[in-house]
Amino acid sequence: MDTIVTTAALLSGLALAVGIALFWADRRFRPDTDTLVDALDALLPQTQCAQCGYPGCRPYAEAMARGEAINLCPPGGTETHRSLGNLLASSARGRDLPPPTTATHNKAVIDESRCIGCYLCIEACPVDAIIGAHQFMHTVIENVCTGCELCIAPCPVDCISLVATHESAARVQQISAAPEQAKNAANACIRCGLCEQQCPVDLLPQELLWHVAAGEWDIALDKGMDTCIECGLCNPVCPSDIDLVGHFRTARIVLHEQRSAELAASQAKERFTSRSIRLAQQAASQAARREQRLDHSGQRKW
Amino acid sequence: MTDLALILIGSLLVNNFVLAQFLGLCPFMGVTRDYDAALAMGFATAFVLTLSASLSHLAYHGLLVPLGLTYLNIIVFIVIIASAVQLTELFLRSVSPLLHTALGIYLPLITTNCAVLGVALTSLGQSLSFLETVVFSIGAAVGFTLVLVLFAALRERLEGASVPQSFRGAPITLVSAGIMSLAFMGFAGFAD
Repeated sequence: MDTIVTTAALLSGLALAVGIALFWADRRFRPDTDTLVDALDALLPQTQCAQCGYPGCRPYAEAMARGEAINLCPPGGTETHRSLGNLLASSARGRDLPPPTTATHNKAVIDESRCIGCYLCIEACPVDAIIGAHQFMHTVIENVCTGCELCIAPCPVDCISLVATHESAARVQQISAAPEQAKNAANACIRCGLCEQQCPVDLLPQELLWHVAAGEWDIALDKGMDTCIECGLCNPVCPSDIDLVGHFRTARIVLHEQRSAELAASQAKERFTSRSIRLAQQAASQAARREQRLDHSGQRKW
Repeated sequence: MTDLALILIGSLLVNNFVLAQFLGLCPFMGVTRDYDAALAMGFATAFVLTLSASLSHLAYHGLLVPLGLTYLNIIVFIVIIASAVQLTELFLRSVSPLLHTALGIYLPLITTNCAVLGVALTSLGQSLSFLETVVFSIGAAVGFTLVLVLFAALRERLEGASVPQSFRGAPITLVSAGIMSLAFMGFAGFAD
């Protein structure tokens, strides 16, 4: 009988102590969601296209941190879907919905001869990429346009169209094929080291190739991939006939493309944020003026 | 002092909990796909392991032995381990939410990591003092982290290797784990 009582007392006492400790810890350590939202936001393409159902990329990131599905971003495509899944370690979220299709790089173009200057597309553009004034012709700033399609629906004369810049289409193909090609080439490398002896700028071409194949761009850059002068001396000595210079050239193009995409994304993010702030200020000042007018004219009924 | 060093080396390398005693194989296979995640998981488990083994030792000698309830040791240890894991999770969620999401389900699963309970029970079996238990569990924890990180690095290299079709994925992973375990067998008799 005694044993039962002490056992029960011991176990419930232990459980109580643990419960109190965990309750205190839960109060003490509040979850930090900001860092997660920032990280999610950084993975989104920053087109601010609102196709996910949220007004922009940041609001969608906030929603994902609260548990929204991760496959709602069509401009990001499969790539974004995958990286979001990696970050959240949750392929389970939204598994029943198919991932969005791969992104295409489009820009909006206004047929200026047909534009009537109605200002509707300027109000729709989330990144202020369209310039113009009432009753004057509008045009799109090409570098800033994210291809979000939000301006197309409001246009009353259908003068806006999306144009795929063919240069970007070719580059997308190059980018998607580059790591796989480099990987095959790295498999063919027999580590003979003949290319090192040829390089006039003292690079280690074989090592650079392995890093490129593994997608370790940073390490490849650290080891001087940017200083390759593309002289082509390493290619002819390679017993496996690897086009070393070609792979480095492609890798540098891919890197450049990635960096400019990152730059464009950060610009779009900045423009979206400043536009949101401006709209909020406008709304506030409008409300204030309305208030003032109502007070003035004494027409306030309520 | 030599005793403590021997205990440390013993639990770290010679009787490594993963590669010599084959405990905690679930995270060993599950989270070693990525180097950073393995490192983080290793540290989280190491923390839980040291904390829970020390607390278990105190609970065993402070509560269970005086009350004559030593047969309850597994239940009590499990409660202590589970609460240590919860504590770690709460802490991690507020300090590093990215790490928290990256570890995902593996974090609460530290509770069911048999290496954690294994360390607590083995240290009892060897009737160590409190200080010795702490050193023993630190050794086990560092050994676990070390093996996890080594194996994650190995697997990242495997990603780039041309493995025969039939060996891709789990088979080559298990084969390399076996070879690594053989390598650790070389430490046998090192600290005896």
